[in-house]
Amino acid sequence: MPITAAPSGYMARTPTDQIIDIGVLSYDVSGVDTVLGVSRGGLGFDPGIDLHEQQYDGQRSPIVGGDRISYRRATISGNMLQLGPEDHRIFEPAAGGTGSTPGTVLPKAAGISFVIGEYVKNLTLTFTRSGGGTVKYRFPYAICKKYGPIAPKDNDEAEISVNFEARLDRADVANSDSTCPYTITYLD
Amino acid sequence: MTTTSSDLMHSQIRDQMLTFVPKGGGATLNTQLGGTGTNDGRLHKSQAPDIVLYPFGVMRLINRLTGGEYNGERESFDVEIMLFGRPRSQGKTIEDLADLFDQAMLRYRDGSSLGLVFSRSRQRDTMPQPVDPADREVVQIRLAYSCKAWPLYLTKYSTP
Repeated sequence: MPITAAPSGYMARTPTDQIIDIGVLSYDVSGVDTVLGVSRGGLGFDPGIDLHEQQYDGQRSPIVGGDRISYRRATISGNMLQLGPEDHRIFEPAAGGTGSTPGTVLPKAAGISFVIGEYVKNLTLTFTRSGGGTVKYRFPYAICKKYGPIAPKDNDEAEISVNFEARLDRADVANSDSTCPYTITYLD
Repeated sequence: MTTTSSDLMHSQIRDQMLTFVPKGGGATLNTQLGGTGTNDGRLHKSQAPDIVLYPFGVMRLINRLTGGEYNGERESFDVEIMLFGRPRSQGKTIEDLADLFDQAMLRYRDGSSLGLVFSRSRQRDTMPQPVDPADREVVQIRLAYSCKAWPLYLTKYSTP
């Protein structure tokens, strides 16, 4: 009896189009892409897309052309291991302060809207591809919407869970309310 | 990486190790293992010759496993390196050679349309001095690099 092979998804791009390893998080410091430090457990990107389905009386199933993106709450999240003053000023939303070690972190007062300079600029999560090159998920503007708890562990490094959200710069004339607040780029 | 046979995979990982240029420059493993030509250093595949010159290494692909979850097309295996030096005063030299192997396999990845092999972890053990009647002047380190592969030689039933 001839062998009947199970179907397989292996194809020409299988060896080259996989993502290997965790991602690396970086951000813009005075025009220089600067890594944010080491993480544990991997950093993840979620486009946070809400799809709205148009519905009408008598509809029996979702229809082609009846969908639209109603909202994007894109996030990058994970657990960081480093917590120097520079890092803390990124995690604490719109924090001020100066210096490295010693340094200061000045949390922003409540009730005051953020200005554009207080957002994290060009937050980028970079993954390495198996065939070479990278894929980058970039938030031109981001804010660390939630960090902590800062969780020290006996005989182990403390982990700081972080959750960054993308923000759209509406002052940029190139953007409309509908512009996607993140970019995806594949590089050689 | 050409993964049309186990022997080619073996050879190409060996080439990666022998040609790797360490951080800060310096001699390659090929040179330090006595090589004078292209990857002819004493990193022997699978077994050492009957008469050996020290230092030398023996490289094997071991613990080769495939699982049903990938239709048998993804393989995990270990690259084992046994490093030998003699006399025991060569212990530091062998440890330094092992450091170079570790560097060469650090984040090792070789992917193309001809297959993919990558390594992300390793185990390293310096062996204790053997008891008589073994040669007590031999120092030995075992290195094992855990690898994953999507080799082409397992793709008879797919369309790469």
